[in-house]
Amino acid sequence: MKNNIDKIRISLPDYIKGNINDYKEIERIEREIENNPDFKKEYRELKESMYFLESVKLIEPPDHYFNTILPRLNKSIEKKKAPGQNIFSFLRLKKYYWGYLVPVIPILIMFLIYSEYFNDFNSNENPVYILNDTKSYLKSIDSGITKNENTLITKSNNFNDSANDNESTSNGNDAIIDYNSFNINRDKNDIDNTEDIDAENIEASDVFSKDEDDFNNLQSQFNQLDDDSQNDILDNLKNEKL
Amino acid sequence: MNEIDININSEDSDIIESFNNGNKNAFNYLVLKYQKKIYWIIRKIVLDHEEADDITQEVFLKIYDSLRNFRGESKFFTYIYKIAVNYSLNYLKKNYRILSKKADYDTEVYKISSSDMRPDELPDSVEKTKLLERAIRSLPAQQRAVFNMRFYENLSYEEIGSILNKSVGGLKANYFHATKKIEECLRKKYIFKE
Repeated sequence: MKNNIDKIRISLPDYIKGNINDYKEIERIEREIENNPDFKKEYRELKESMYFLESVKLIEPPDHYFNTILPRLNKSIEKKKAPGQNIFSFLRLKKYYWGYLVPVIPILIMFLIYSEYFNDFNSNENPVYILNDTKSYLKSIDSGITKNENTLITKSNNFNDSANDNESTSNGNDAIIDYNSFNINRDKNDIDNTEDIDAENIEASDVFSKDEDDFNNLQSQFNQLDDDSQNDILDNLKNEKL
Repeated sequence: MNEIDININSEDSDIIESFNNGNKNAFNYLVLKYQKKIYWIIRKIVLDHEEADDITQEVFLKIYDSLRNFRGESKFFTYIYKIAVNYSLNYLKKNYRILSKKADYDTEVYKISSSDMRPDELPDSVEKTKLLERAIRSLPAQQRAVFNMRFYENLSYEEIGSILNKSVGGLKANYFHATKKIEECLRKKYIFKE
């Protein structure tokens, strides 16, 4: 019984508006209005409010508003057809895209910074890579450098002023050593470590000389010196820990 | 069919065919033909003119982009009606919090302005409009759309169902609850004599 009344109630707004075509349904609703005072009250109240709604209109849009829709629309279509004319057009990305870009960009930046730091950290931990790089770098520059008898060019992270300095470790691949002055500050420990790690792969020419002839010339000059001079040079070398 | 053969009174299918054959002006006829209807459908759902204007533009841009994909399986008006209603409902969902605050604010305004009114005195047309807006704002998004389509546009439940992808039974219930809620809202504001 209650279900039937609920079904009739749901049809009440359509009955008031005259939108029901089924005569049997109309009869059922009218019978209920006559016989059920509560239903009758509900019908009257709903009817009043629906009549009120029909009598009220929303405020009209401004005059000539409808004349402006098409021109603005055509303008938008033209703009859409020629994107990129305005260099700031990317700022007009939909909120949807900004919603993704804004959190993603800082994450990317953080990742780049972290990966850069991580590479530096690895380069300190694995000097083998540095030596291998050094060796290949030396070979590549070997033919391109003007020969200078008084200068030996070498390249190694172990010749940096400070072996513990991260920056010089990663960027100090261009050390130029004046052989005559022996103005080199090297850490003995670094040399030992280097030899332990990759001694087999290092050749004398890789480290000291860009040309074997230079080395032989120096050796012959050294042999021509008297014993005292040779001893002095050797002592100096020992003092310099070379 | 070329540009000369169509006008604002031509069949939708002819206008669309002309557009798809390269006559871009054909779209203008569609806009002129439906702009008022589309605007008012949207306006009655979102209530605010500025918002309705923005959504109307978006709806027609969407129609412009998708006109080539329209296969004529449903009536063209049902198709654009569906786009308009969905855009309006999306707007209501996105701005739910702002709109709820606005509805509360409107209630306060009305209470102040109606403080001197006797219960048997009907409000003037401005206040009536305010009441109508307030009553419609009290409805949840879908009920608001169903109410507008049924009450103002006289669409059948089958047509509303095809627009919102809902069953006829559910829509009837939605419409009934919407009218009841509006009636309660109006009654609270002393419009009717007891």
